[in-house]
Amino acid sequence: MLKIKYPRTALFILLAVIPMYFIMKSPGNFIPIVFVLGMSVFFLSILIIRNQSWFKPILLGKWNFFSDRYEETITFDLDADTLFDKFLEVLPQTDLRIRYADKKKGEIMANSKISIWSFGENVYFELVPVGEATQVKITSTALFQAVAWGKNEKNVSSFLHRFDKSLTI
Amino acid sequence: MAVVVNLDVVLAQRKMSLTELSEKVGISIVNLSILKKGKGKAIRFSTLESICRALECQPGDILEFKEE
Repeated sequence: MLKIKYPRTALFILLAVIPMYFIMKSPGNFIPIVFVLGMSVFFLSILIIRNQSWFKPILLGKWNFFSDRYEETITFDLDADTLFDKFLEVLPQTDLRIRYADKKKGEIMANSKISIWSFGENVYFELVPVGEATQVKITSTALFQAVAWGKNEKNVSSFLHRFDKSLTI
Repeated sequence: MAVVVNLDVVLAQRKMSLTELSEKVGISIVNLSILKKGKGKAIRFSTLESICRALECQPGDILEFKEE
């Protein structure tokens, strides 16, 4: 797999180069320039606001057809408090980075790194106590991809694998 | 569960808190808590050794087999 050392820098350079190309190709025509600049601003702003908690209902909304998602609900034989702390301990050991965590709401959001193949996926964890156990809904969603080519499933399965391994103390 | 973890009993006997034990053995409180509740999948010999050293006890004091 092709790996770029600084994917964000590459992305920004690309976003700067594309409008330049259109400007040089057709100097009098501003429509492609406005379109490309508009798209660049849109993508960049989504990349910035993706980490906010209020963006979750928009991203996971039923009218968002542009983001492929994968959902898995699992019940763990652990209380919600312990499980929440355990998740916070396990997540940094995976490819996911924690963006926000709210113990009261039982919510954690992490995302995968931006690469040349992906804008990174947002992974949401919702912990709901069910008696002495805890039901966890894990939703992984790709930002601008209607088809994520298994990246969402991979995020969830690799986290669960790491979590399972961490239960050997 | 056939193998019961008696970590809470030994901790009470030694009048030691989970936080103190965590600091002594270098294992996070959440992991010790999981172990104490018997929800862990397995325990490493190195973990057992450090807990026994910190609590001055034998592995048999912490782990006990009970017929289900």
